[in-house]
Amino acid sequence: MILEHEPVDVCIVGAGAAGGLLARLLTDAGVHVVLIDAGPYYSDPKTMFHEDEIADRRIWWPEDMYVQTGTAPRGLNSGLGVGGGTLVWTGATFRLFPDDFRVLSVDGQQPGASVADWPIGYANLAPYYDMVERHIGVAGAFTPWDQPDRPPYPQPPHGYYGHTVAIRRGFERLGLRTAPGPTAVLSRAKPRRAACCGCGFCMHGCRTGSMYSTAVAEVPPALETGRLDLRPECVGRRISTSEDGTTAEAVEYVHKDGQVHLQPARVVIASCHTVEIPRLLLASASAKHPNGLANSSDQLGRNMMSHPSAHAIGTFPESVNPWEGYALNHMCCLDFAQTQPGKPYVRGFTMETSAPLPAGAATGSLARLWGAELKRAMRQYSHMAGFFTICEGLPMPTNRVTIDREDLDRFGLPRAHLHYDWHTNDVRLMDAAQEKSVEVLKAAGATEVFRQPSVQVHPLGTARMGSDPASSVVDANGASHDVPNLYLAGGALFPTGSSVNPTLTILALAWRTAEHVAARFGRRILSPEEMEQLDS
Amino acid sequence: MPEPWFVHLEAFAEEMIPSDDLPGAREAGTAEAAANVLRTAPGQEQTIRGLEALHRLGFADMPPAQRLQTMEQLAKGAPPPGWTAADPPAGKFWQALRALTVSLFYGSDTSRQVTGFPGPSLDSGGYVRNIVERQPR
Repeated sequence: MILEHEPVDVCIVGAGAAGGLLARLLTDAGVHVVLIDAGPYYSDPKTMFHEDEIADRRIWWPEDMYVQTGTAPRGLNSGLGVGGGTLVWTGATFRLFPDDFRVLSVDGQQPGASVADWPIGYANLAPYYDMVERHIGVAGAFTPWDQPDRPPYPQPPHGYYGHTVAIRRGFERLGLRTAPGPTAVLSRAKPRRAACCGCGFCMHGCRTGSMYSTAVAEVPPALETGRLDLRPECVGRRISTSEDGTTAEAVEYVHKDGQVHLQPARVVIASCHTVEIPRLLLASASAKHPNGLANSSDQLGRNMMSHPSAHAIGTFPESVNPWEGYALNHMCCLDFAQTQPGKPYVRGFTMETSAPLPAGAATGSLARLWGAELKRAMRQYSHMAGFFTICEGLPMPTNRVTIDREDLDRFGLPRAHLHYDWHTNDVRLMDAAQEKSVEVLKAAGATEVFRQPSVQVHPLGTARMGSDPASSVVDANGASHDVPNLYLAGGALFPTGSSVNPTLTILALAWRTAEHVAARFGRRILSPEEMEQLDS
Repeated sequence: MPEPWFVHLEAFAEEMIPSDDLPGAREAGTAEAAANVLRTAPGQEQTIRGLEALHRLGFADMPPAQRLQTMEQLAKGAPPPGWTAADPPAGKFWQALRALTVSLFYGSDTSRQVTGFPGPSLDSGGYVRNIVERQPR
């Protein structure tokens, strides 16, 4: 028996970075929203998280939900709960470079890849970057790689801990530039969010709200408007359309108690992760959309890419206390972030200092060690400092999310199957990034250097945006070419992935989508200044 | 009554995090914690099947040198003698069980004697006071 609810203006599936921000912006604008999410709502992080590397892994999205084939390792890189990835991210908030929006034009197509230019450029997104940075409270200082016309960062940088100063020696000796990494970890308090105390447990649920999470910064004020109906622990199972297939009409979802619900809505937004979006839409196939909803282009689920990455850590003669501070990006070097002439690869990699907790270090940078050798290394943990290198992976049409209709999960949803191979260019980039990591750590004075086997983070690209309905899934506003009142949001929309962390861009795109959706209801999205007045 | 594979999980954990002058998996109860995860968390079937393969091989009862050799082969992703095609891939089994036991040990309070990690700090103000350069250049 399906429980059918009263129609609502907007139903959003997935309360992560994009979905949580969309819910806040739309409800502040006067739109009524139902927000469903697969995970629980940790409404009081101070008491519900525990600064425990093991116990708080319950908020990590399980890696074993999908079948994966191909040469790339697993790496869903998201959170399970209202807030999604923002429960477990690191706060690194870079803007894309102007060339990141036109990789095809700048570097050309690579064999086997499906590189495409974005339908928008940096200039289109810059005002949204400005608003998002102010709204979420990005701390930083002008970097050598910033566009000269960007406004000052809204919060001052945090300052450097001992581990960052130790690593900076290496960059300086090699003549490389560094700067405080822009971060959505607050250096000054904002409403509902304290300034960072440097406890280091960002990726296990920030207890103070210092690290931006939609669970803390967006959902509570959205609930206070009285226009948000939050439904945690509910999994979207299908989006149904009108008989002629041109209009999304309702979201069918399952609560963890097994009850199936139907939520009619005038607008539907799927913002539930790069894997879950194609899974949901492919599972929503119908007579009018036999290939999956919003998939007349056959691009849904394809073009998956990620950031092939690796952590490297060095042991220093002095104690540097790697647990101090926030998890990532105290300091960054973007000297290699863009295509450099004469290299055997295109695109680039970003270097961001990190502060790994003990279990993170032992399973990350030290993953090649075991037994007495691992224990010997971990005795030196307080002397370790390192950084994360993030490479721009290329999209390939064969890197793809499909579903197996014969293999249903406990919610009756077909299981997703990921096929993900690294492109040759990805492998070359990773080799270069790892070599540079070792070089910097040695130049900094590390007596021993450990490199993590490569991992993938930030899956992207499975519902790419574009101007041509024949080769893309959504338009530049996130609206489906096939079903115009169906919007998609998140990293799935990226045609290419840049070498910088994607969340600031996910939020900026979501802000654009919110404006477009609000306009359908004759509403206007508030400015960050107006929202601050409401907050205070 | 623990499963037949439990003693092999214990042996694996003690090889992975040996006890010396400082505590290891034995003192931290790592095998018990790992068994709890394997019994209750979804998606652990492959790891349990790998432990059942270790049971078939008599891993826990092997002489120390043979046990070490088995660990070394698994670490390389190579199936040790007696490992069959029906068993999970050796490399994936190693990665999964290494990650489980290592994270449970080095995430435990006991391991702080090894690492020097002082533990949770938020309620005492965190480490923000330890910033060494307030205006980074």
